[in-house]
Amino acid sequence: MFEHFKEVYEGLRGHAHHAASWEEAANIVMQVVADISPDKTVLGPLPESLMSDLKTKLDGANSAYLEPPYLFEELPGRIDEAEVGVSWVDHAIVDSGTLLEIATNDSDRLISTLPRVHIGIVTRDRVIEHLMDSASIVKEAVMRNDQNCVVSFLSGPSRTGDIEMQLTLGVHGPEVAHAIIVDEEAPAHAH
Amino acid sequence: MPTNRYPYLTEKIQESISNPDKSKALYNAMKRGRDSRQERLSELRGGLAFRQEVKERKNLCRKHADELTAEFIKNAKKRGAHVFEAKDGEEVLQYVLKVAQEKNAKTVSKSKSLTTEEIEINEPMQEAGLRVVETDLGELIIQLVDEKPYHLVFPSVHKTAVEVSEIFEKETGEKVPTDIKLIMNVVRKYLRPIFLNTDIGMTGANVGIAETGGIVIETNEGNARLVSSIGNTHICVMGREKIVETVDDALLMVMAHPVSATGQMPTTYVTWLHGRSPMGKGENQPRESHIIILDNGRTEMAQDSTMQEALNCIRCGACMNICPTYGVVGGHTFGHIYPGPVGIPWTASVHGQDLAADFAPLCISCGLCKEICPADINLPMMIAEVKHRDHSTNPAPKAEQTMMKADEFASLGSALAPLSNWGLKNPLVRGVMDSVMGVDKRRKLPSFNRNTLSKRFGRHAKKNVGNSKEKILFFGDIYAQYNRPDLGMTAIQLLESLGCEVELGEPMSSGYPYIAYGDLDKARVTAKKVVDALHPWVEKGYTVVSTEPTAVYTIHKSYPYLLENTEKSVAVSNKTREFFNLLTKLKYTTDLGQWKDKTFGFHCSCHQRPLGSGNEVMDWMKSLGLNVTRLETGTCCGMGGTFGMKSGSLGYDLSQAVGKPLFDIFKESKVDAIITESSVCGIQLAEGVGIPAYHPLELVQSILNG
Repeated sequence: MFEHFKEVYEGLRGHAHHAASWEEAANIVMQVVADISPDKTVLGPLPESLMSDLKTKLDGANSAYLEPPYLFEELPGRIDEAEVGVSWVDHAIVDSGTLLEIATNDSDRLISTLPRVHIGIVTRDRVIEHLMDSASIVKEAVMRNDQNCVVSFLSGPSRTGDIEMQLTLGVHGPEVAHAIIVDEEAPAHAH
Repeated sequence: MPTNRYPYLTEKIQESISNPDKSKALYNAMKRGRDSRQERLSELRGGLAFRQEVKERKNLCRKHADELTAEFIKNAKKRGAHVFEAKDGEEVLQYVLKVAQEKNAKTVSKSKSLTTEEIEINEPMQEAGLRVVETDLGELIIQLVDEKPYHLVFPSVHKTAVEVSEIFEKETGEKVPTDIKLIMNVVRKYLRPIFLNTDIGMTGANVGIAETGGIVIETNEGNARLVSSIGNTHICVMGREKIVETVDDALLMVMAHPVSATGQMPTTYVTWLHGRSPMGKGENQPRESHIIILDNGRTEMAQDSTMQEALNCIRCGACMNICPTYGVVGGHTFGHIYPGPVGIPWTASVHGQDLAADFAPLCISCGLCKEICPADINLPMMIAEVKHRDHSTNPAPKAEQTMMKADEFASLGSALAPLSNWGLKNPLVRGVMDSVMGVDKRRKLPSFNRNTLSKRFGRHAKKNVGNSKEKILFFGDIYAQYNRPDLGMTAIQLLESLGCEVELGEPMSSGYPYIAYGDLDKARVTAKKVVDALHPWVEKGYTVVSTEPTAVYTIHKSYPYLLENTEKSVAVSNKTREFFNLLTKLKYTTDLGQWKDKTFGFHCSCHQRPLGSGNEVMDWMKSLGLNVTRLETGTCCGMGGTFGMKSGSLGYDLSQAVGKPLFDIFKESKVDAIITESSVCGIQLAEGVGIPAYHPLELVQSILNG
């Protein structure tokens, strides 16, 4: 499953990683952060153990980060300051190389859109095989959140072919997209 | 009628032909779109089956449009959205300006929306004092130079990197490199503060979902994510035809759209937007969602029995990618605001019949747009209808009138042969034909034969009468009857040698030129005449066979449509097949002798594609040991039936420009000869490539004749 996802996701110019545990996932994030040395990393809502682990490691590396909650008054500028965005995504779809993000707050969407690098983290139990089987997930999410809900399919980095049909990455959204699939169970409070 | 219609097209065609670099770039872009789609389809579960599913679901949603719109509005309002039904662009504008005024908005950032292009809303919004910025790169480029989209999916595909760098240099006042990646950095830097400080984010919608009251927006760049999240007010302008019933329907469109457009599945970003979310923590956020459902002629379009199916369009642009003449002249000539084949019925319905008829003659009726359309929209017939409506006030040009009488001229040419054949080779006669009849003097025309197929058939002794394994009615089209009766007889005698009883009906044209040039009254009369003539044979158990793909296509595909699926037309359609389809069934083999030492390139005519793409004849030739390869660009050879016989720009010149890439492929392949079942494609390719073109039957004929 992971190998197939990786093949499709990398075909879309994304970077796919497998992590055996939350700790390993945090290490992968730290590796990306170390390679880039961003001024700031912005963290979205993450499973508790991953969040605390990540914060400890970022502190240890003396790497600045922003963590929720984000205040309406300081958005979107605050998230735009960060070069790396790390966020939890609810599902992944293998045959389309897609991360499926369910957001009831637009700050979550900004974390996966504004920074130049985005890292999406999903648990293995939330990975489905086929894009065409994702309708029930979308429907369930938007019906459960009967006021507002935005489901986003994110399939690799932002791309355009608008100049001479030449593929170019990162025109608006992330130029670099990482997906980490963790062999853990999704936390109960997750969407 | 605009008095300069044809001079305008002539000028634009010549402009495109004299700019080969630009044409080549456009050709390559369109080909890449076709090839990527083809590649992805080969991996897709169920292959092309999704097209019928899209068609069925869109048809159903169209039939229930009023109920689904009401359900959508109810559910969107439950989520707190403000929903407004606008009858036209002016109502959209007034609504948007009112919202902008209430919010004291200064900046509107937009993501790509053809619906707002349709109503040309940017300019009046700017005149009202708003700063309106398109954020899709392609749309931004054309906004900065005040142009219309060149293509539905790639609006600025006609601009080179150098031109784009100059555009941004002018806009930013800074030096902009010509390297595409570096241009992107400039664009990112230019647009980021616009995104961050926008007051209103304005988007279109690829889909609206009745059961959830949500909208779906697809992008590759991610600009719609920013546009729809940052501004406190989000305004979506959506055509009412975008509303589908369920999330499953929406997902089907989310798959079908990019697969057909670019071979992606899905686009990089698909946003399923429901209600208005807060941004960060904080009470009483001024976050609002407005959804404007636009009619602008769509309700009327839904009542138009010919055009209503165009409402099923999911805006993938695939019809542009495959359209042979669009690939030469581009969307500014082949389009008004909506470009390409689907732009013709859409322009006729939302912008006016006359505007659509201005560029409809660029359609050469190859039918490929229908074959590639993910919703299987019968675009060729809609385009024929636009031409037909136009001709009620503006008679068809003389060249088209000549082509619609091709059968009468062929009959006369045959009766007057060999004098007529001398005339076809005489420059003076050809000059007169060019200026009086509109037949291009440069085009080599097939010679006529006085000894027609009917005469030959009447003289020959029928075989297997009352004792046959297959009863065949050979459809002797005009070419078989008057130009190559020898080939028709070879086909007939070959079938007889295989135990078939063969009858030859009254020689008649299938009447396809009437469809191509928009005389649908005569097309229907011809369809009825042919069906009435063939039906008694079909009733008696005969199979109708022709050696000409267009004849089979017309009887099989066009007649049921023209005759509204009458029982007879469907019965005749079901019993009509290509010659080689039958020959394969009869397991015909022979030794093709010296032909096995030659190399052949096979060309599939456009009308043959929906009949089986010539796979049977290819397999048959290979099974007999022939060295044959399929050679194609994925679109037309340029002949377009009789289109390439017409004189001048809107005929011969354009047909040559369309054909050139295919001529080059044949030349590079170094094959000895061309194989094609279409008589007119054979003429075009033999002339363009400079090697002989054979109907596959000619190979058999040469062996049979020793």
